[in-house]
Order: sequence, then structure tokens, then C-alpha cells
Amino acid sequence: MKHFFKKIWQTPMFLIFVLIGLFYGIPSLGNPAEINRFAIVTAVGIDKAEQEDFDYEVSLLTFVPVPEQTFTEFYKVISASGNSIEEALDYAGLYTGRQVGLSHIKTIVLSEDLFDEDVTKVLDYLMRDKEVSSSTKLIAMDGKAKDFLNAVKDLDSQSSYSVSEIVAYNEHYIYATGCSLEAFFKGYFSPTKASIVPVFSLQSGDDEGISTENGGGGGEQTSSGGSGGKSGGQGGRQIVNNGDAIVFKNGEKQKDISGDDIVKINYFRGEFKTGGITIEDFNGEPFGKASLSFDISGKKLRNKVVFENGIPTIYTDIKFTVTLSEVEQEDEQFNKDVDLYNVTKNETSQIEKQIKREMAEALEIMREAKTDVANFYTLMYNTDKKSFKRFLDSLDDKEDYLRYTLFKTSVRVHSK
Amino acid sequence: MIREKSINAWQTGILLFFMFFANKILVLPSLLFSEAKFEGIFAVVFLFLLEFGLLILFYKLKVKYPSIKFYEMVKNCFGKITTKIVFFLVAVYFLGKIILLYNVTYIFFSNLIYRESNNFLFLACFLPVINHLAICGIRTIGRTAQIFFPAVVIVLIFSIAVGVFGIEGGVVVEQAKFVNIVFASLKHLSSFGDVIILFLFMDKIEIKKGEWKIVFSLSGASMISVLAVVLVFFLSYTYTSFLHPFAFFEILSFVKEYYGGLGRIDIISMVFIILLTYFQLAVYLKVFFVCFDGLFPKLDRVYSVLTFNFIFILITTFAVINLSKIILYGESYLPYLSLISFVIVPLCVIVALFGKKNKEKKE
Repeated sequence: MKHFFKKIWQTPMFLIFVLIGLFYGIPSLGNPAEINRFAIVTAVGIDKAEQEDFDYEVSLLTFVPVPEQTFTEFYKVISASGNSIEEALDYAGLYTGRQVGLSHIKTIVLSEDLFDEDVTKVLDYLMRDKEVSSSTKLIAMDGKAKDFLNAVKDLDSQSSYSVSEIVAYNEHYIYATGCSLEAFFKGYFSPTKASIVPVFSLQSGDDEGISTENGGGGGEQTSSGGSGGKSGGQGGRQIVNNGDAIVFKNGEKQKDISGDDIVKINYFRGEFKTGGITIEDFNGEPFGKASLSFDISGKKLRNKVVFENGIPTIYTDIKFTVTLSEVEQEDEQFNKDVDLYNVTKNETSQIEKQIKREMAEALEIMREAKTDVANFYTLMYNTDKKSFKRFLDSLDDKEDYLRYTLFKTSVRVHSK
Repeated sequence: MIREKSINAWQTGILLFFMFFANKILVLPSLLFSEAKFEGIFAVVFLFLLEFGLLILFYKLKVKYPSIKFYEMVKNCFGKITTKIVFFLVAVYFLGKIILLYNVTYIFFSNLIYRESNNFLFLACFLPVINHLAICGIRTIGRTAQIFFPAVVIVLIFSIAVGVFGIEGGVVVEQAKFVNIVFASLKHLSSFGDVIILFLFMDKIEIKKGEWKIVFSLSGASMISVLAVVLVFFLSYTYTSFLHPFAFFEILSFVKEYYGGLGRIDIISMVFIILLTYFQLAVYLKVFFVCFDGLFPKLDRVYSVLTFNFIFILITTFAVINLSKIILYGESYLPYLSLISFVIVPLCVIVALFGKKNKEKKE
């Protein structure tokens, strides 16, 4: 034993280790658990403050962890106003009697009354805060963000269905678009200065719609179909995600884009993974006046820029691999298995024509709004910097470069 | 306790490998982006070329004078007083580098995990270990580094390879002017120039003929790795790179956030950073001790240890612990002191190399 202590005494690093353990280890055992100190926030909504003294009202979808045998979390919406986001969050902390924990935020909701000014001012704090993940989803609200969170509150509490998951899948489909905090600022700081943010809205529950109601008031309602999806919320209000979006330029709202137009723009953006294409009133063997739906199982997008006489021409080449997924005929049911059906040239050429037409419409939308959400700027700049600069210098309005850029699109559709 | 033995080619190469990461993979890429956009990477290339030049200079010197002490060499050329001034400046410069590196690492960890921890907890974690390593000597540091080297390489390769998944296309390069790159290089001069460490330990380095390629290969690999980290970081975060101050951590964090699947892989980067920081701080501290011994040859080692710890605790407790302050100090004052690395030491070496030659010719 004596030898042991002698050895330890000769090893100062061991003594230091013991000292650190005594000084920091033991006191930390007496600290209250973090779940007792933090209010865990999963979504933040930002509105313009109704009181004149303050600029912003911040609403937090928050739950206080309590030990119980189920996995259900009881959410509460807490609102506080302040002259800055940080101040409002501090006040929210005062109201809850807990520290506001931002590291679990998955969604940031912006109210429509903020869109007249530069929204980056509102988002600045959240973007720079190290606790908030840059992958946090950003959504715009057609109404008040606080109301949206109140509707979400019941959805998150009473089901395992979370609003952040709905937004997460926006990027997956051709029908919508997703936006993270990082993506918004990347767009803002890029040469195009443009970012595209999905828009959600609230509808009263008795509105016409395609929804299935489960349980009592405020219970789960989910639906999907056509160009919209709805999820039930408080007092029968439904969250609507139609794929609508807002284009922000220099942080300010530039244009509303409907879900239908997003599909067209997404052909150029090419970020989606799956989706469908429907041809109405198709006449041709073996169908008779049918509505055919095709599932996109693969896509390849290639853009090439050529400067001809100082004018950039963008050649867009898109290849789609499709499978027939649904047939709706007026007269009789289609009597073949769609999986075994080989899509014919006639059908693929119809799809090609439709996509080409929609792409032309998408270009018109972007040209009108003077917003390059497909980032053609970078493509042209990196292809031939000098020619592109010369081209921009030749324009009266440099922001309107898409109007003077030529586009040639080639669409090829193959059956799987 | 003091085991001042020599280090071989592998240990020298590994120490250089570790030192080339110092102050370069956390805050630097973000700062370079805010000053020179994507072209900030050329500032890293340019400064590494200078660093490589210093390494070649060291090679020449070591080949010519295999066992001379740096102190003796400078004294022979410039006399005692100039040597003392040079050693004093080197000691101040490395003290500054230690404070910069320690504070950046402290802020990194306190921002990301230990939010409520204070400086004393960090001091308790760092000071005993780096003091112990530096007192034990360069051979102990070299051998310990050799043990950890395979793990460091594996983590580094893994991190860069995983980081590649986060790379996004569609960015506009060539946004900055040449003058921006030059200014960015000058501003961050102090993050480079670690090769002069070799000059100060030159009597403790034993590299046999034919083994220099090990040192050059490991140095080259380290430089390429740092460049790869900066490049992957720029291409992952593109236009918002300046909003992410901890580059090496951020590249893994980006993959974690957007691609999921691999879980909390960003923790790997924390382990990597803490490990490298220990070695880097220990080597810097060893340089400080060498300079202190040169300045006060009659004083015992305990005085240099006490002096360092007293100044270090005083500065870190009362002066800094704030990212903007450290960066301001790193950008404003340290670059001037970096002249020691890139001008004064090389000048001394050139005079020693060619001055002696001239003397011999005259004789």
C-alpha cells in the first residue's frame, strides 16, 4: 500500500486527474438535470408584433419533458414580443420559467406580414445561433405564424405525425419545394439573390376538401391527392400544403408561385426525386379518352450553354424514365396490369409535348418575376465568364437577363 | 523527468503533419471566404508554398550543420544581443500562437457542447497535459504523436471522404480580386510558418541520409489534407461559408444534417481537433521553453514553466475568451510577429548558410 501511494505521488498527472475529478465531477452531480431547466422548442413562428412597442412576436411550439410511460409529448404554444428576435425569445423564457432550448427546432414559420421587408433581418439571429441547425426547414405562412403553430400543436401532440416531416418530403416530390435556413441564405448570398420558400396555409375544417377525420375535435386528419394535402389541427383548422411557394429576392417577397407552376419550374431545377405526370384525354390504342398517370422513376437533367453572337443559348436536355401507374377511362376499366404494360411511342411523345409546354410556361414565370430560381446565372458565368459579363453589360436591366437568354429544350421520355 | 533526446525522420514528419493543421481547420477557412470568397483557397496555397520554402531551407541547413544548435548558429552570425532579441521575439510569437489556438479551440467546444463550462475547466484539461508533454521533451511528444498518427490519418481520410458527399455544384467562382487574396494571405500569415519550430529543435532532430523523403512526404500530405478540408468546406457551404466558423467540424456536420444515415459523425471531428490541439499546444510550449532557456540559460526549467503558466492564465482569463476579440488580435497583431517566421528566421539561416561559406572562401 505504501509503495502504491509512493508511486502515485511520483505521478503528478494522476494527482491532477484526481483533483479535476474532485473539483468538477462532484459539483456536477448536484446540478439539476437539463430537462428540468429547458423548455424544448420544436418550431418557431415569427409574426409582426401587434403591440406598437415591439417589432416582432415570436411563438414557440414547445414541450416540457415529463416522465411518463407513453411517448406522447404535450405541446404548448408560447408567444412573446420583443424588438428583436433574441429579446422576444428571452421574454418567452421568462413566461415559461425555463431556458428556451433551440437545438431541437425543426421548423421556422414566417408570417405573411413580414414579407414586405427583408426577412433576412428576422432570420439573422436564428441563422447565426449555433444551437439552431442550418438544416432547419423554413416555411412561409399564408396568414399568422402563431395560428399555424396552434394548429400544429394538436397535430404533434395527438399523433406521431409531425409537421416537420411534411416539409421534409416537399423536396422529394416534383409537386413542391423545400427550403432550409441554409438554402435560403445560400440563395440570398448567391449572385441570383433568389430563394424559394414553400407556403402553407390554414383552412377551416368544414371547407370543401379531401380529408379524412379521425377521432374528436382536433384529432388527426390526413389527406393527399391531386395538387394538395391537408392535415387537421385545432378547432377543425386544416394545414394545407399545396406546393405553393414564394420567391424571395434580396430577402423580399418577389412573387407567389402556385403549386401547379412549381411543378413546371421544378423541371428546370431538377431537385425532385419522384412524382407523376398526367395526360388528360388521351386517345390512342389501347385507350379511349383516358386520363393516364405516369410515375417518374428516373430523371437526368443536363444543361449546356453556348454563346452565339454574344447571346447565351441554354440547351436543356431532360430524360425521364416513366411507368404507367393509373388509367381512368370513361367507358370501361383498362383490363391489363399496368406493371406489364409497355408505354408506347405515342404516349411518350404526348408526355414530351406536355413537359415542353410546361417548361416554356416556367420560363415565362421566371422571366416575368426576373428571378432565376433555377440558377442559370451560375451556369452561364462558369461557362464563359467574359462573354456573360459582356452580355450582361449590353442589357438595360441586368436583372432581366433571362428574357434575353435563348432556351432550347429537349425532352426525352422512356418507358422503364 | 526531462528526457531531451532526439527525434527521427518519422517523428519529425509526423510532428510537422500535426503542426500544419494548427489554426487552419477551424476559423481560418471561414475568414478567408469572407475576405477572398472561393479564391481564399489560393491564400492557403500561397502560404503553404512559403512554408515549403522554409522546409527546404531547413533541409539545406541541417545537411550543412547536422548537430549545431540554432541558438549557437545565430549567435555565431549576429552576436549575443541580436540572438537574445530574436529568441525573445520568437517566444512572444509562440505565446501569441498558443493563446490564439487555445482560445479558438475553447470557443469551438464551448459553443458546440460545453456551453456552461468556464475557462478554468478548459485550463484544467489542457494545461497539465501540455505542460507535461513539453517538460518531458520533444522526443516524448514525437513518440506519443507516432502512436496516435494512424488514428489521425484514418479519421482525416474518413472525414474528407464523407465531406465530399456534401459538395454542391453550381457556384460562381472568380469573385475576388488578386488584391483580396494578397490581403487575406497577409492577414492570416500568423496561422502559418510553423516550420520554424524545426529550426529551434534542430539539434534534437536526427535524420539519416535518404530519410528526408519521409519528412517531405508527410509535410506534403499534410498540406494537401488541409487544402482538401478548406476546399470541401467551401464547396459544401458555398456562399454561406463565412457564417460557419468551425470548418472541419462543419463539413461533417453538413453531411450529418442533410444526408443523415451515419448518425452523429460530427463527433469524430471533435475528437480529431482535441487530439491535434494537445500536440500543437505542447509543441508551441516546447518552443517557448527553448526560447526561455536561450534568453536565461542559467535559470532552471521551473522558471520557464511558471512564467508561461502565469502569463497564459492571466491573458486567457482577463483579456480574451471571445471569438471576435481573438480574431481581431490574431488578424491585427500576430501577422506583424509572423515576420519572425517568414523573414527574420529565414534571414538568419541564409546568413548562416552563405555567410559561413563566404568566410571559408576567404580563408
